[in-house]
Amino acid sequence: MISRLKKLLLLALLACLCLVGNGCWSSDEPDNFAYVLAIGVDKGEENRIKMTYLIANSKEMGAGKEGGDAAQKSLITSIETPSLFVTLNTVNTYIGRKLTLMHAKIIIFSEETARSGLMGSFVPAMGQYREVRGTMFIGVTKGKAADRINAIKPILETNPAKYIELVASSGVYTGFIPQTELLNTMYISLSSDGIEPVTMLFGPSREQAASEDSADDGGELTSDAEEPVGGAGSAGNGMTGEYRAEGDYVAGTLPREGGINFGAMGAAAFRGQVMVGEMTGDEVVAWGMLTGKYRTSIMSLIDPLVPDTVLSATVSEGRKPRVRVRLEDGKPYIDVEVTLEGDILGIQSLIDYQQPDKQPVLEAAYTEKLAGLINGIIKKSQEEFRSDIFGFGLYARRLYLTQEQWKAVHWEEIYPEAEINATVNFKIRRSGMLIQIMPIINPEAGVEEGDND
Amino acid sequence: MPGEARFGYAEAVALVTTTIATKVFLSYPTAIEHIAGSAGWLLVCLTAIVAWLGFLLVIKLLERFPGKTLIEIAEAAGGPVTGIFTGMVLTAGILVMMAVALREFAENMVITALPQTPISVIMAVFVLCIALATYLGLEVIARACYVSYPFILTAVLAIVLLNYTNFNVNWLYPILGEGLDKILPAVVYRSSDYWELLVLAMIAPAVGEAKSIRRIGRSSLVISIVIFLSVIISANLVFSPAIANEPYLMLYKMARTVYLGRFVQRVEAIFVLIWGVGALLRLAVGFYLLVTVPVQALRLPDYRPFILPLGILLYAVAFIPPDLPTVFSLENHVLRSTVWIPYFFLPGLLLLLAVIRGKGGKRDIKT
Repeated sequence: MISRLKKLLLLALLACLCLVGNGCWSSDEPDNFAYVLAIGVDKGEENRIKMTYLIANSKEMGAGKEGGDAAQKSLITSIETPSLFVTLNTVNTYIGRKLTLMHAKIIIFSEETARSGLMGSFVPAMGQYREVRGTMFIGVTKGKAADRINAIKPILETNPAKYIELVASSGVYTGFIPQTELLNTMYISLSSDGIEPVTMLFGPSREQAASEDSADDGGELTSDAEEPVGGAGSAGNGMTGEYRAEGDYVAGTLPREGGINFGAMGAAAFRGQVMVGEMTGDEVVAWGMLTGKYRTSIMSLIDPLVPDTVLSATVSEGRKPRVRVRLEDGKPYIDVEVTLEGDILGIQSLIDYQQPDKQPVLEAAYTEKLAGLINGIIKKSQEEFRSDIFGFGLYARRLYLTQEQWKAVHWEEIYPEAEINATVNFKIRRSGMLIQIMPIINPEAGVEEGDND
Repeated sequence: MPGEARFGYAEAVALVTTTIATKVFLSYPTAIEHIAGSAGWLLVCLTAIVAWLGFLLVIKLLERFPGKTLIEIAEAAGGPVTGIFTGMVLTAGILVMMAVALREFAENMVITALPQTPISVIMAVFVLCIALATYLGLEVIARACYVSYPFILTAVLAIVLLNYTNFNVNWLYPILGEGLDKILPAVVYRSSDYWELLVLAMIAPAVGEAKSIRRIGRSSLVISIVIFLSVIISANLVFSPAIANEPYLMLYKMARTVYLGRFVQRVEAIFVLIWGVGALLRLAVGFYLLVTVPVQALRLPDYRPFILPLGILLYAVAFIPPDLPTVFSLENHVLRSTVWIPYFFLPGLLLLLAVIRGKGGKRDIKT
């Protein structure tokens, strides 16, 4: 009996301990929190910084609340404060619920804060706070960050958090924005020798960008929306419009109509903690190919045999890039071998590039375009950015035995003088659903049924 | 008392491995990164080799005095005064180490899961739980280790593997990290990371003869090395040597870094639960030793009356460090720099004493 009583007492004691340990001090009701989904950071006018929060309206986003007014799904508020974390208190003076960053998906900095170095100084500080996750997306926006956060009003998604994740992850299949460049990765790049940060670039729609640019001098919209930004794919060809590669844009310049006044295209490049330039979507594709972060995207090409027409193919990574670095007399020599594979999607000219004699022509044309893109961004990184955004320096670490020896190299100083030789291997592996293409019959031109020579 | 408990090879390996390897939940990986940088793996391997050499001394001692605990051996080799002195030195050492470990685990609970809960409450819960475990005895603790062991091991390896998308092999270079001039001096004193192998000598009668203790020690050491290497190498691969220096709780930060699409993320919630169990088991083993070692030294019949006073003492000592940086410094700079001394010298001196005085061994058994 006594032994049984003892056991019961012990169990009761354990039950009480569980209550004490978990229940009292650290308990919180989920509906007491205001869940921040997105954060915008601008330079302040009355105080040091202006923080903008997109807060989930959990009542409107709950189960069975499909559709409805996108504006009702979230609450957006901006406040000027001396630092990021004190805003958690100041916003609580009027929000009601306790502000929490536990579910924050993205932090967007204005180009102004990125170019001034403020963004770089924020990143390490953010990692200290337990609610901030290193897997949060991070990006720079053209114009004001507050405007971008205000524009996150998804139509196809009930949940703005899902929209943010889907847009920020779209680089996996478009290649136009850098993938896996999160808060953590930016912090690592900021703190380590041999690699510099790159973050995704956001912007408004082109019409909005133009109006923001004219209305606001501080908008910092540097790219001309009407002119091609650059890139090896630009060429005229006599079609209805001028040929301009689909990725030859940065955010805010894409010739589109409709949709949400928010988009991600291109990237911001940094040297240290300062943003030093921007990359177009195509340049990000090339950056991804050189860093091994590229997976796949659809890429157009002026038909090498019929330059009036355009064809397209899915270009995928064949294998991770091979990078070899050596130093001779303090000068780096870098050899990069990029291996890509293609899957033809559509050929307007109906030339059968699957034929053994024509396939090499198409492969050579794609190789030339890709090599142009790759060499272009390498040159830009050395001459304009003067920043190793590819992380070639990480391969150079292998040349040294100790950290001390590696630090003495001062990679960031010698990278702009590096001699970089990039080789592109491109092979067409498939041709979509077709094994060969039959021509459209044209008796006047002598093209008959079944004649695909 | 250790002599009253009986458990097998698997339970003993689980107990020793849990005691050694739960350090990965604490500041151990950060401390190793701090010393060795990208060559953390090298430091782990070298310290393990040195620790094994120290353990061979323990085995020699146990071979000479079969079926006896370390305290009983000290008494047999050097007389009652030596036994009491050894017991008191060990008790003081275990008290300090357990107090620091208790404080560390409690601080970590504040950081990770219970930020609003007073640390005094968290520590009180820990102390009550380990007191209860100690009251129930070594066999219960060993079997609890055995039951929870696969979960703890799986949790650690899962965090490592789920981070594979963040791996960058280049972060393992420069291959010698901070350099041999910094690593080699640390090899001896960081061998104290495996001082828990000495636990086997303190509970020897419960686990068997010297031969099986050697086997248990070897298996525990190998599994602990695998756990340490997995965490240290993957921490480098994920964070880079520069950042791996920073987090107080490396494994927790790694758990927070897991991001495999929209559905596989935020896995640290599971981790915190398993980590709490591991912490309790490690503290329970330490507290059991804290209570039983002085009892053996003073030849008292029962250890249970010591649970309450030593529990209160442990709770009080754990409050002495004023803040977390001090706790980190105590653990990694003070304790790790000194624990290797008794780890090597205590068995060594006892062995020497036994040889000089002709105690133990076959001759002693005959006489």
